[in-house]
Amino acid sequence: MKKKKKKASILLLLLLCVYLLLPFAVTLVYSLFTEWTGILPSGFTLRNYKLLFFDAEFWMSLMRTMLICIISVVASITTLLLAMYVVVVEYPFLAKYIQFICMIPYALQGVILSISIVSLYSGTGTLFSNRMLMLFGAYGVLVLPYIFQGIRNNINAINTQMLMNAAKMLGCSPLKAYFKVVVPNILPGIFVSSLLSVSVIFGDFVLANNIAGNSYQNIQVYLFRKLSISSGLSSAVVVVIFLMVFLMTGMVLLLQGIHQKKEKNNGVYRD
Amino acid sequence: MMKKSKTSVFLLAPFLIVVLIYELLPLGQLVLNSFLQKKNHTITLEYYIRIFTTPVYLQAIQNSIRISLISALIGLSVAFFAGKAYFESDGKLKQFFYLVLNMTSNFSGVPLTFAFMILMGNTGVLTLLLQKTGLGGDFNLYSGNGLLLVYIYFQIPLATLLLLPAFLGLKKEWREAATILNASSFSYWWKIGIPNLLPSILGTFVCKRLGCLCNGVCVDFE
Repeated sequence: MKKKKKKASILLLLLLCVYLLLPFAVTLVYSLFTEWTGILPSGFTLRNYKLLFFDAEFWMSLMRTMLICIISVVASITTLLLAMYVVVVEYPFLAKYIQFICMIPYALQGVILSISIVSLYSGTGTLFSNRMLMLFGAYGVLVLPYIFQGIRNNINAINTQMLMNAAKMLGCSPLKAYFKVVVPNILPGIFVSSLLSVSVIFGDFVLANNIAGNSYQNIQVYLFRKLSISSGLSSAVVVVIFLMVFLMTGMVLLLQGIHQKKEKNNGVYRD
Repeated sequence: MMKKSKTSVFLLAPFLIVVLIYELLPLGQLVLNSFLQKKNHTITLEYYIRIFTTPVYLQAIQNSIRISLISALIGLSVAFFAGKAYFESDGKLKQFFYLVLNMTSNFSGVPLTFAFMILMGNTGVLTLLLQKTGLGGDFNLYSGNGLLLVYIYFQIPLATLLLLPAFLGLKKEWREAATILNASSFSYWWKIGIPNLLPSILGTFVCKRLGCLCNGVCVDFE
């Protein structure tokens, strides 16, 4: 009876894996063949990838995406780490307000956030009407929920108050204790949530298209423009994006696994 | 003490400025504008009345709610069985499934839509295959049902990921106690398992519906 049940579970998981991976598998095969009108594709070719990798525009879009990921995520982490000092050291009650502010973007998602930012600042002629700056700001806000959760979970996990007290007893000022003791201890954990944020920005099309469009073309806008030109080339772009997200996700899970093992060995528990 | 609060203000400032400029002010302006008559700067409910009386807008709202409700329901049902199966199995497959869940939940927007176009669009691989084998109905990806299909697809991994922690909260003793009292597997889940999961299921449901209502990429295409 129990064995039968286990088999059913395994079957269900296998089916779901196939179902979830099917669109990507088909895209991968599609990008590698010239024709697929029968049951099996024909005419194996690497032409799409060759075209893609020799396209300067592709590399530029990829670099832009990377740049925007790094700047927005670093900005988000820095401002939140500074703000969390105030919560940890002086006013713990502020935590719930900061959490609320950080969770708003999670509920809003792309369209509403981008439209409200564009309608407020575009055409004002100020520094804020710069499309690039708008996009950086919008992404910085978009990843706040992930970064906040990462920072808060890690601050809870390392017994921050004890570390702060110990450092203070040894003559550190609270500021020094926070930045020299607490922050270095939580940085590895924050790295995981920043990778997650990077994959969120990597997967975003709405914000990039609504706010910047052609004036700051990221990888998804590039893909969108290629869709109408060549489906072969587009499928190659999709495969590249998928592989990058795959790599980042794999790395996040690996790091989380290592982190948890370490915690188990140290006898630290999460609450 | 004075110095202390000065540092606090100084350290909180960057966060508050960024959030104010790129989150709170734009949103506030959006809400305010929805009540403001542009011509003579008076407060009005005109726009809201117009939304709820114009057939096009009403239809759009109805469509959004219909799609988000159905896709969230189906996504959650699959997620429930997936979560159950996840905890009943072990080893490599379990890890692989978790990896697939994480990967596909991070993957949406244009690439996902494109993948579905290749698979089931007008000249899609599956569409042609079904036509050739004579099994094909008249399914159209670029319709309400097609949109629903894509939404269901990307609800499943997210809903499963959100539900997994809830399954950890089900205690082994409950299952044992139920078995001793002669409960069948079905009545265990119906009377103990699902009621205990309900708060998380509802939370996930609301979350998914929100995500659905706010996600615009796939809609743009179809």
